[in-house]
Parts: sequence; structure tokens; C-alpha cells
Amino acid sequence: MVVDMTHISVDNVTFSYKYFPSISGGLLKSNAGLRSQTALTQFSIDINHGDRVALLGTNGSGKSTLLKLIAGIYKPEVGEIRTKGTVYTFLGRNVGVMPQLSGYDNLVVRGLLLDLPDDVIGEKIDKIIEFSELADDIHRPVSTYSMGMRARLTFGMLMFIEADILLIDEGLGAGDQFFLQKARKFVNSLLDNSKILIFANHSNQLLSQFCNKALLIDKGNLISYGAFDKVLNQYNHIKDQVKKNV
Amino acid sequence: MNKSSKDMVFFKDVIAGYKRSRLWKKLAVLELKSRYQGAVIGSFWIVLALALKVFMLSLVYSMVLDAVFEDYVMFLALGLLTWNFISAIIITSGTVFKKSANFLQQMDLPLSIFVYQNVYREVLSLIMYQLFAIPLVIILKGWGVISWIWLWALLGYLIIILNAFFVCMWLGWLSARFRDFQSLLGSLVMIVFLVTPILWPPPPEFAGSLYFQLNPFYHLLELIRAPILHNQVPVLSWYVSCGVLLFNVMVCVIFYRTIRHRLVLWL
Repeated sequence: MVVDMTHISVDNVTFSYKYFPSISGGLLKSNAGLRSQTALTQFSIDINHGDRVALLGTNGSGKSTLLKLIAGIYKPEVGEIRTKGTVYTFLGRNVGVMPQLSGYDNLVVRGLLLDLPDDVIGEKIDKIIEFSELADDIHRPVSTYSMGMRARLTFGMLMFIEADILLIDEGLGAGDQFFLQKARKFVNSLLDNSKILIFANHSNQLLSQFCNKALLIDKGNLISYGAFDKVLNQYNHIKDQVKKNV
Repeated sequence: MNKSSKDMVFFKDVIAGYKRSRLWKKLAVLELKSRYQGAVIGSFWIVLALALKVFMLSLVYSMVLDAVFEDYVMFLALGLLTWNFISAIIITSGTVFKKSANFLQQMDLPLSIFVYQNVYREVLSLIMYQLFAIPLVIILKGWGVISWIWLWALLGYLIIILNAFFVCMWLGWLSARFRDFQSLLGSLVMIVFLVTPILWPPPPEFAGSLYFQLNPFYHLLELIRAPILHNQVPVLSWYVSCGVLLFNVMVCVIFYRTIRHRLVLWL
């Protein structure tokens, strides 16, 4: 019975995107040609404390939409989402990194976005600089960083986490092997049993290191939810089927 | 939720956004700095650009309008710096949320944070404009010209900034939903600049004309110009400006609930 523990409950949620096909413009009616694409259909799931869930599914299956709904960024058209615990999101490849600013300024903005006190931000930034091994490069504009350095900076941003529910969508590059080992140790220490992790990433290596469960979505429908290895096999099977059909 | 508490949702956003002042102040300062990144005199360009504009336009227009140079420079400088603020707010409103899509698509944040950021950035510019305007007035007219009535101009700035906040909010929504508005705002600002008495004072025989009296931008400018140039409190302009503020607040309150969770899908 989950009462005061971290918990996510998605109850019969349906959500669709409205979009204009291609570059339809110059129409007299602003919503002329507006189309609707259903991203999630009657989706229900309960995720409990201690669950580290890998979000599996092909591109466009609804993974990012589910994360944004749980984060409260989108509101379901039908159904309800309840979360117990503070939510931290790390969505998209750019994760709010502004390339014209230095790594340091980006870290300050990230800390402020999370509404952390100034002294905590200062302390965390010192730790992040040490962890990411960026040293003096932290004061250079991010636009001058190599891909590896960017990956270190974005991973370092995870050190700001002070939340019970952690939602991560892509964005986290693996970086080099040495750094990956370091990152794994850090994330493991970060996630004690009272926290929830939902992690979407195309790297099975990363997912297997951090997750104990997996959730498979296809075309906005929940296909399977359970032990990581079992669901991953199911996902690989679906991918093989798709390849054969192609 | 009853109706009155539903209407209060907008003000909750405004208060929640205000509480995040460390964030929007930092974003605004970084934005200003990055705008002048690499420039030798940096953000002092804000003042220099205004000074150059006022000087060049005064040379030509004082001649064309057959006006006394000193009087015209003051009229133009006060009008232009206030207009620079108003026009910058209107133009940047078109992209205020689009620009912040990276944040809004990641976190459930109060929308007003980005409006505060936009307005604060322009207020910083407005303060820098005063580095040019105040010495200019004192050089041209001497210390004796300073009067307590000038405090009305300060209050005038306050009501212009309040209007800027709410206009930026609803124009931001409108531009995110209807992309045409982003393009329209630029053209609109240019037209308003030409039809509002900024470069030229209204001819005395037409000062009471509806052409000017129905133009809210004329009244907003008069909040600043009348106390400083004529030692007068522009009562009618105050009524109009407060009416415009009420209208802007109402628009925000009425549409906020509809917009709140849709805006992120339009970005």
C-alpha cells in the first residue's frame, strides 16, 4: 500500500497533438488544415517508489509525450495524472543549454530554473566542474565545446537534482567510457529506493545500467510493463519484425 | 473551483513568476550581455545609439519643422526614448514565448517568468536611456528647470511598465497561436511611430483633435513629456492610460485559463 511514498499514477489518459501539415500558410482561416495526431490512447499505468523504468518504443511511439504529461507540461485531454513527490525533468537534447553562454552561466541558469538557493547553486557548480572535468573550459561559450564536453556538461547538470521523480528523455550522451563509469556511480548514489526514475534513451547499454524495469509503448498504447530484460526482449522482437517488414 | 477563484489563476501565475525574480533577472542580464558580446563598448551601445539617433534627427527635423533646436531636442529625446521602450516591448512580445520554448517544453513553469524577463530587460535599457536624457535636459535648461511635477513622469513610467507587462503577455499568446502577428507587429510599430507625435509636436490648432486623443500611444508619451516639458500633469492621458491598463489586465484574466496548457503546444 503506497501512501506517502513517491508514486505516479496515469489513469486512462488520452492526448493528441494539433499541427499544421507541412508549411501551410496564407490561409484565411488560421485553423484551416489543422490536423490532429493522437499520441497516447487510454493510457494507464502505476509506477511506484524504487522503480527505475526504461522507456522503450520506436520513434514517435509516445515516449516523450508520456514524460511531458507526467511532468505537467502537457495536460491530458481525457483522464488524470497524479504524482506524489517533486518532479525533475531533463527533456530533449538541448536540455535548456544556451550555446552562446558559457558552461558556467548555463549551470547558474539551470540552478535558478530549479529555484535552488544561491549558496546551494554555488556549491553544486563547484562539484559539477570537478565531476565533469571541464576545469577552466567551464567559462568558455558552450558553442565552442566538443560533443564530449557538451555531454559532460549536460550529465553534470544532473547533480542539481533534488527531486523524488526523475524524468530523463534522450539528451544524455554516453561520452567516453571512463566518464560513463563515473556517471553510473553518481546516478546510482543519487537514486535511493525512495525515488523514481523514468529514462528514455536509445542506448540499451545506458538503460541496462540504470534501470530495473521497462515500459514498452507502441503507437501510443502500453504494450508491456515489467522486468527490464523481459520487456527489452519483447522490444527487440518488435524492432526485428519492423526490420523484416521493411 | 468557483468563477472568482478561476479568474484568480492568472494572478497566481503573476505572483509565482514574480517569486522567481532571481531567474528572470539573470536571464534578462545574460540576454543583454550576449546581445553586445564582442562589442568594444558593450551595452553602452544602448545609450550611444539613442544619442546618435536624437542628434541626427534633431539636426534635420528642427530645420524642417522650423523649431528652436534646444526645445526640439528635448521633445524628441523624451519621446524617442519612451517610444523605444514601448516599441521594443511590442516587437519582442511576438517571440517572448517562442524564445523560451526550450524551458517551457521541459518544465511546468509560470508563463509570467518570461514576460518579467522581457520587460525587465527593456526596463534596464530604459534606465540606461536616462544616462543620456537627464544630463541632456540639465545641460540645455540648467538645474533650475527641475520641478516636483517631474515625479509625475516617474509615475508615468510606472504605468507604462505595468501596461508593458500585460500587453507583452497577451501579445505573446496571440503571436504564438497566430504566427501572422509576429510579422504584423513589426509593421504596426512602424506605422504607429509615423502617425504618433514623436518626431513632430502636434500642431497647436489640432492638439485637441480626435486623431491624437484616440491614440493611446500619444497619451502614454504625454505621461512623460507633459510634466518635464510643460510642468503639467496630463490628467486626460492618465485616465486613458489607466483605462488601457484595465483593458490589458482584463484580456489576460479572461484568456489565461484557455491558453495556459495549450501555449506549449503552439511553440
